[in-house]
Amino acid sequence: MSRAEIFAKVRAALSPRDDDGRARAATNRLRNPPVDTLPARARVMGETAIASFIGHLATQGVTIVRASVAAGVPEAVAQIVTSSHPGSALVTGSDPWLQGLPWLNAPNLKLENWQPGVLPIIALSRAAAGIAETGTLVLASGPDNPATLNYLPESHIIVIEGAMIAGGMEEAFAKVRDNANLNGMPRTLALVSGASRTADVGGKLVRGAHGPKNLAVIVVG
Amino acid sequence: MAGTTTLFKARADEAIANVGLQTALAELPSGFAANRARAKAALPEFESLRDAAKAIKDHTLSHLDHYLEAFEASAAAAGSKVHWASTPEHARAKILEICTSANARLVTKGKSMVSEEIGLNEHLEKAGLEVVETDLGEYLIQLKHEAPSHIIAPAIHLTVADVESRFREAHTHLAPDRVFNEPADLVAEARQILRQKFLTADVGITGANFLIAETGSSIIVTNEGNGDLTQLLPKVHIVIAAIDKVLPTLADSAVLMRLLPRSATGQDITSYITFTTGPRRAGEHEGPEAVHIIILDNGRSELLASDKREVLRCIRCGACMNHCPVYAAIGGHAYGTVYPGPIGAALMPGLSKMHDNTHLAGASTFCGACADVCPVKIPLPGIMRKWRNEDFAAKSGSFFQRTGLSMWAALAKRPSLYHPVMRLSIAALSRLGRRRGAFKHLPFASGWTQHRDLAAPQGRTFQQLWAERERGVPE
Repeated sequence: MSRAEIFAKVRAALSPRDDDGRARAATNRLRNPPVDTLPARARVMGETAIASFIGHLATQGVTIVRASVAAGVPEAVAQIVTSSHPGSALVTGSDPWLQGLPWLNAPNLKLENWQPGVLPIIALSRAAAGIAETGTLVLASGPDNPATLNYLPESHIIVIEGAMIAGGMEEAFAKVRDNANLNGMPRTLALVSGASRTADVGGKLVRGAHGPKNLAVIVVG
Repeated sequence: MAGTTTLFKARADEAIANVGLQTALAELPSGFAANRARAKAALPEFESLRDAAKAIKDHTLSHLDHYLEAFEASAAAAGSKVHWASTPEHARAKILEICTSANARLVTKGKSMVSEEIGLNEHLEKAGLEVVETDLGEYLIQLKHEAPSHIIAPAIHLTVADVESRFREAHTHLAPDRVFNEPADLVAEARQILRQKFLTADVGITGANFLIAETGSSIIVTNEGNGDLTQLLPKVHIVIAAIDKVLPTLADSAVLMRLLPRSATGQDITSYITFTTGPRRAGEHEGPEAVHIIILDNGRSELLASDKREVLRCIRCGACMNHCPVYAAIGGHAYGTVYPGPIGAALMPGLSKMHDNTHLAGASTFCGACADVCPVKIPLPGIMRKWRNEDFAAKSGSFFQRTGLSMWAALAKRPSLYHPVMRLSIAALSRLGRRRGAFKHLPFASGWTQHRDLAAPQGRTFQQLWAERERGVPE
């Protein structure tokens, strides 16, 4: 009932005589979205993009580690866990790239698979893309990288390959949607640009409102 | 209508006398406004992005039926259920029905102005549900049984001491002698309390900053991550959004996202921006089993048909109120409406059953600061002026006001009458007020002289002075 009423009123408001033309314009635009007004800071690539990505994250109080090769990730991860939550298990999804890393290099690290009901203290995820423009990690949900790990733990470690860092948001969306393993738009596409924070009490910025208090990013390559 | 205006004036007087509120409001220029200016200065393309954003919203609004249909189809393909509500009553009833059929007892909520607009919490609570706001600011005002006083900083009117005393009253199960040294201690307590709510809620309700027609996604923009826990953990997620929130594509959202946080808090981007597309999928062990998206009209289709369509471009950043001298003087509560400030004055009279809010258009100096900072270039003073005209045409206001305005208009439209009348009255006032230099009381000007003296004119009108200056007469 409401549906017909709303559509009738909206149509009546919008020059109904040229309805076919409007329909065509909308369909065309959905198929070919215009990409205009891309700021210069979104038109970067390669090492410039990585530097901008790291620079923005650094202003947000994020811990940043660069690992020249993927094999260096387990040691970097172990160091972060030991310094922030010694003894806690590191909870992660079933990302095959992460699983394939040489975890034997970090013998003291307890790696645990996330299951429903588990409240992780510290978690590990792998980003599907990055955004240089704002220093943003793009995480695609699924069994490989459950979205729960982005918001529930006290601390979150996110690994990103340098090659996955796009200039702007539009390019990052394309990287996610072209990724054959993801099958289009994931259920939760999370853009993370810092730790959880609030300024609602007396206007003072406090980290760790509801989500992670600490965010660490490991850039590979 | 005169009654509503009187109430507004009384609330404004109270707000100006409220020391705590004035302290909080004094932070506005150095806080949000200064941060926005810095963020804008750091992005050379800011102005061209405003034009692009305006164009995106104008295009979307003039093809709104098609994008709403496309959104409905994409959302359904992703497994979400879309419901339409032409009125707040329809929306409330549908949401309660969904909660009831899920046997819900505890409902968590992310921040949503549309849920305030439809009076959702009260409706659900009357039906016996426990409703918990999870945005920290919203949680604080829920504990105080207040409404938001700002659309992005709902508890901006509260001091740290207010929060501490309310926490001690509300959280009685915690040690009464616990110490709060700084805001971080209060935030930690809220985190601990709300964590339990997130984990045990049956239904999560969020708003949406945008809806994407291309993918059927709803977007939330937050710094706390509360909206994410609200929409991810319970078995049912309900999105409540209005028809003006739809955008064609993901790429369009990227343009608007470059403006929203910068205009709101001065951040380049918020800690979290989340795109949610449908319920839990095969093989996943997280996410709601059902996603319901309620799309509300509530007068917006009438605004679309009116000469005030541009107000529907609004992306709810709050920049207009952060830069408004009237808002800075009285805060959000004095307006007495869900949306305060310039956007409230331009929008509220258009929403259903809120036609008695046209007096808000009077709560403006027409300085134009709101339009200057609006990321989608809404001509807010222009729209307020249209409401003022309609208000006058509808013969609202007292006989005295209306007659006064009519006489003024008759005079101001006739220069040959206006100039001599002004010359005579200015000269007369100047003679009358020569001794004190100001008036304590003046007939027909009590609205001014009640609060302050009226300076006496110097003897000649501006027009006279200007003409003399042009002729080269020394001052």
